Amino acid sequence: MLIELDTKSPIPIYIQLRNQIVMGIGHGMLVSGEQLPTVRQLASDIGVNMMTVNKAYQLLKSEGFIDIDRRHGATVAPVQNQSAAYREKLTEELELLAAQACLKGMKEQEFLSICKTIFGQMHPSSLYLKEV
Amino acid sequence: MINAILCVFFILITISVVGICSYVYAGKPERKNGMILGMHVPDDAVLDDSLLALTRAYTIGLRRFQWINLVIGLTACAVCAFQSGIGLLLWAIWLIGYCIVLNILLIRAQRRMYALKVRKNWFIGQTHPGLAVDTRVTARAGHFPCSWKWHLLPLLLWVIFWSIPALRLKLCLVPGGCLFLLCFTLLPVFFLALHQCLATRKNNVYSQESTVNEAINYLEKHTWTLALVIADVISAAAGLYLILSMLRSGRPAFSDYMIYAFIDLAGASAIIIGIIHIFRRRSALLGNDAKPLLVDDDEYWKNGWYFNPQDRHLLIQNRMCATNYTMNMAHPAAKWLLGASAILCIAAIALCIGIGVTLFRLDSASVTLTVNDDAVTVDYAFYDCSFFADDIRSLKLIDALPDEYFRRTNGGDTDRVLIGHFQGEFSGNTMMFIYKNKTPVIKIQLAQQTVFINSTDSSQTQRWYEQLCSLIS
Repeated sequence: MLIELDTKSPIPIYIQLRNQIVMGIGHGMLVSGEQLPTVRQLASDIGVNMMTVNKAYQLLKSEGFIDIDRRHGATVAPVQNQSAAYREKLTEELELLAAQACLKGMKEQEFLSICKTIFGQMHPSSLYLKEV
Repeated sequence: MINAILCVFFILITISVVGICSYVYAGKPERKNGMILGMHVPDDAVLDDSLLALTRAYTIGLRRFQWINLVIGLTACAVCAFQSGIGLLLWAIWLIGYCIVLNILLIRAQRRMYALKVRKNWFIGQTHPGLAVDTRVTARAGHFPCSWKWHLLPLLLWVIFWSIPALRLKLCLVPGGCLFLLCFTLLPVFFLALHQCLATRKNNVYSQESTVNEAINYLEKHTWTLALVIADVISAAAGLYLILSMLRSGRPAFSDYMIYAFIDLAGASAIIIGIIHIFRRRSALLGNDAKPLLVDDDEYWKNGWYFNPQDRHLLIQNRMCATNYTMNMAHPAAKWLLGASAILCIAAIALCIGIGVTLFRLDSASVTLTVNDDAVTVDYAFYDCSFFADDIRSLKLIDALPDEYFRRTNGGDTDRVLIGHFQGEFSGNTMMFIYKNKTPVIKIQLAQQTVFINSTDSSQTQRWYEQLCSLIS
């Protein structure tokens, strides 16, 4: 999977890295159990500090998208069943997006259609469901 | 003889340097990997009149430059055959000038190409790109290069020579033996450092397909490191041959040096074969790639060199020669390295001029013998020897130099002369002012030193001898 980072963007590199890995997993470009590069190697290839990559990996781990093991390094975590906390967070984020869309004059049907199209593009590799 | 070898050696280097540079840079006006003269251009731009005029001017200019330099370089080599000092100086100045002007030509071509691209708005793919990385390639990159541990074998070989006192001491008694051993020991260290630099360098992204990226990065890292291991092992074998010949017979014969150079060249050819293999295979892989990564980062190359403050990498693949590396001039270390390289270049020029002047003076001066009252002074270029008549213990006119080995300690040994301080096997501390193959020779035995003098003209030598005889009688 290709990760492309924009160094001129106001979004911090570690957030860009986290977002791209999450989208990669969502699109099925990174499959469950697939090994991710080591922090050192990824930092070297991107040309950023190791702490930046480490921060992104720790964020992904805390969100349950990757597993970090001392022996095997970072691997893509299996698809999880949604938790109540996640549902609450998603509702908050969608509320903001829906408000912005509404204020820009978007109709409900159009908003739902965009959501449906984008969600339809997600084909995460789900070898098994990880119970939370 | 030495002049002839120097001449042939420099002719080979001149032809190789000009030939390789011509081969590498001649194809740049053709569109390869989406680039012409190191800049990305769209497919339909190839037939643009301005572009054709620019590439034609580059091709003609480069071809003319290479031919002119081949003639100048070979002329300098020819001078080496007659006057090694002046020839060496001219050749070194030519080589440095050639490298500088060639780089200026390439930078100018790239800048003109970028200006044309901006004028025609030939931007393709993603402009102002950031950093791209292929996670699958990066995750597997550790398995691409050969193991660095192979370099420990040659290193171990030389450590054995250093650690056995009998071998070490015997080698140190041979002229230059210790220096050879030190150089041979440092070679695996150099190869190891280069190996690690190449093995840990950034993995490049060429395509949207991970398989293509993986194949090319594997090809580059594996081939480079394998070639370095082979070159290191062969170089160690060549060194071992020379060291063993030193241990066996003291001073290696000329044929031993030739065999050493021949084996060592076989190691160097492994690297050249590796580079050609990478070049061909990478072109084939990129040619068959259906999803090339269209990233236009020409903005960072607009000056003719790479300048990207957002990129923390120091070494970047060169646009004009993919097997070369160039520096990111926005990196702080690049400025230091450039400064150090400039100092080294100036030092090299100064050294060349110094050696050239020295060799010229050695080749062009003549032996003079001056007698002032009872003081005698023998002089040649920057070497002289003064003594009084009372210091002379014995004086002889001999047909040739004694049949013994004279080790040069501070002096010159050219095709024409033996000048300066030597250490004779039996004569001990010796000063020579000798034209080779000229007879007779005056041998002056002093209290602490032996002096040998002759002239190109045998009657002159005879007159000096008579002058000295009258002085001591």
